[in-house]
Amino acid sequence: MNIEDELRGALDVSAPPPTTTLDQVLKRGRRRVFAQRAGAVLGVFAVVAGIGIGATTLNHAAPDPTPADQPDHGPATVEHATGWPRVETPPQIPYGTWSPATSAPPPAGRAVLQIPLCNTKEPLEVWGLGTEVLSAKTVDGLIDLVRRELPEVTVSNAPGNSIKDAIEFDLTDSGGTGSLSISAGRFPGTPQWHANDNLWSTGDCEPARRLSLADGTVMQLHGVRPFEPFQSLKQVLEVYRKDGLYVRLELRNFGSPDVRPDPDKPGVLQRVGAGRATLPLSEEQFSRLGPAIAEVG
Amino acid sequence: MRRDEEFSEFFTSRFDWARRTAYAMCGDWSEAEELAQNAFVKAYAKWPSIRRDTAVAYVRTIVTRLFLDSRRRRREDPVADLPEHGVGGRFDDPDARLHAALRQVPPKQRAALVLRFVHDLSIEQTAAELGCSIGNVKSQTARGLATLREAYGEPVTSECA
Repeated sequence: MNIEDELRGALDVSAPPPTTTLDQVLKRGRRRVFAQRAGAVLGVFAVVAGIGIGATTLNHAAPDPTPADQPDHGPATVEHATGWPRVETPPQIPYGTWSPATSAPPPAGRAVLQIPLCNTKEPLEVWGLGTEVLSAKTVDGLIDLVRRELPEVTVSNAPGNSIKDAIEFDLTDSGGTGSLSISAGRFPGTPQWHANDNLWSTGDCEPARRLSLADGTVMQLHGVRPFEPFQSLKQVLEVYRKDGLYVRLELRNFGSPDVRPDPDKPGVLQRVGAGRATLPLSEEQFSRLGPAIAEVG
Repeated sequence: MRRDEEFSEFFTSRFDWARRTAYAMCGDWSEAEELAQNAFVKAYAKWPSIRRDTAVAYVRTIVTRLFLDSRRRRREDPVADLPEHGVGGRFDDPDARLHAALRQVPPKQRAALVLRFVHDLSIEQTAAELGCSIGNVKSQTARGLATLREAYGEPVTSECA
């Protein structure tokens, strides 16, 4: 007996009659086709839903936009990309949360920012701020560098501001108009000491971000702080140069369209507009000005 | 519907063949019926993309893989002794004896034997249908034949030395 021959005849066996009918197979086959098509459609829906849920989740997982005293976590700056490290010191403990005054609330539709509030610590040494310490050449240099370093923003001089107390600019982009104010002074001693002396002078809760240059210049970027009216926002960048020149840059969420001369107080501007929802520069854009100021002659 | 017409023709001509193939592997007519039916249902769903000249091989591959899948899911009770009666008749029926002996061959070896000798496929074709290497088909076939010879319990000749 050859076993392979036996196997070759394995299909030729007596068999019971089949019980499966064509109708059965067609019905099951059609159900399977329908299920496959439904599965494909559901798959597409699942992918679309997945993308939607993913986008929503990522959006929710993004940094909480409320603590505007932390510019790397809030909406007050659009981008958060400065590489400056925070000063290594414990943060302040908040004593409360920002709440706008009922007499000057933010405009309708603008969310109230849940900003932690911390104590302001006045520096031990203070000096006058203005533009008197700046030479005409330095003033020109500062005006030029702002325009040069911020090509993506429309920079214009805010009307009604002399250059006596500060050099003022309007900064405008698609989000609206804000402003930048530059003032200066002279300090005795070392940049590092004064930077430390002013660490909590703006009421930050988290330590400021700081970058020291090789020539001894220290730049200090404070957090975004709210103030009245209309939930105004500001952020301060300080530059302590090795030559004893102190330059203070204050970024604001409002500009010249939001102020007008006070009819009752000549020479004084009156706030009338809430300004934009965010500061006009991201943290990265704002911090760009620091090293440039260190080099102004 | 052209799809149904073509498929109906294919079903009519090949269902019994598929059922017998399944029976050669599983040794049970009701299970063979189920395997064949499931294979044709799957073939219907894929019918527009199946080339007509490969439809037979396609169904055979499905039957084989469904059979192997079913054996992976449930351990098949090995037949220690030959049953007194074969599935299709008394034990002295040569067909029943063959199928009873086949049931003592492990499932994958059995599938290799059925494809290689019952369907007369080449080693390469068998490897393709089983989804394994040529070397694996050779070893499965050799071991399957050895097991089958033992199951017969009497000297049998073989084309394979």
